[in-house]
Amino acid sequence: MSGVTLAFISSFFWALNAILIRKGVRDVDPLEAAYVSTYPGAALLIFVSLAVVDWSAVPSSPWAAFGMFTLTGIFSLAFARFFYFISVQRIGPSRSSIVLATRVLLAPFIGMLLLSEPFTLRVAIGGSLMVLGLSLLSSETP
Amino acid sequence: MSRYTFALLSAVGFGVAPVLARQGALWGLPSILGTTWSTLCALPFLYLFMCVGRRRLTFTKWPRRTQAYVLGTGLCSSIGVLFYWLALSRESVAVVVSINSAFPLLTILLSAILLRQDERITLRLVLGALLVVAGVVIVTT
Repeated sequence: MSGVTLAFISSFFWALNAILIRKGVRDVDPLEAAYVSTYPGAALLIFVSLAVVDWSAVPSSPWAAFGMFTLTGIFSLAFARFFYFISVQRIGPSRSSIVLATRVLLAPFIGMLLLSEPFTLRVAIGGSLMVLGLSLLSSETP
Repeated sequence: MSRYTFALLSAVGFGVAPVLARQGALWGLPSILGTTWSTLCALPFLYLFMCVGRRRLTFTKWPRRTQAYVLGTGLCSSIGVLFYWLALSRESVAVVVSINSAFPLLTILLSAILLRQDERITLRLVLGALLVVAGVVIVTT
């Protein structure tokens, strides 16, 4: 299977994820839903990790790397996922996923702020389009 | 609070994650193992939020259909991640991230099919999604 097809399948499952959140959190607490939904995902990832990870390639002292992935878990799978569940419950999956797509802007901004990376024309144009798209969304009547 | 505040907060959280994960991967941890570890680390934090918010686990009392939807979201999210890593192993980052950025358009399509009574699909919504996706593609390629 080509990388392009795999990327499409990945997008499809993320889209389906948003739809299921909407159907799931209609009558239940989004925080509990975010918590409970993490278990089957974790089980699947553990199973795949045990099957495919080349353990000899794991560094002998991986603590710093584990620390980074711990922070990743706290930011994305705890905070961000919880907020995403609330957002889908309140404004729906389509609008939530559009706002979520703007996350790619954050990496260049962090690079500019912390690593003094240059502000490129690409980021300026892409960022402007995203802001324009979001302002179109926010101008909708609720 | 604006209707979009939680979505924006979510975007910030999900936006910081790849920066951190990339550093973790550069320090030698296989991405799939790191992702698994991240997911496991999120569990105690989410449970802590529930304790702080004095919420009780009511999962067993939910309707079967709700349980299935919520458990399904967890699986879909992880399957999406697995296919994402697989795609990255066969195609350039620019191509994979660009295709992946189209997921709001797929979400709108699925909403139109599966959430007909729940989700209002407007011209502004579709135009907004197209502009955001175009912006993402420009930034990531």
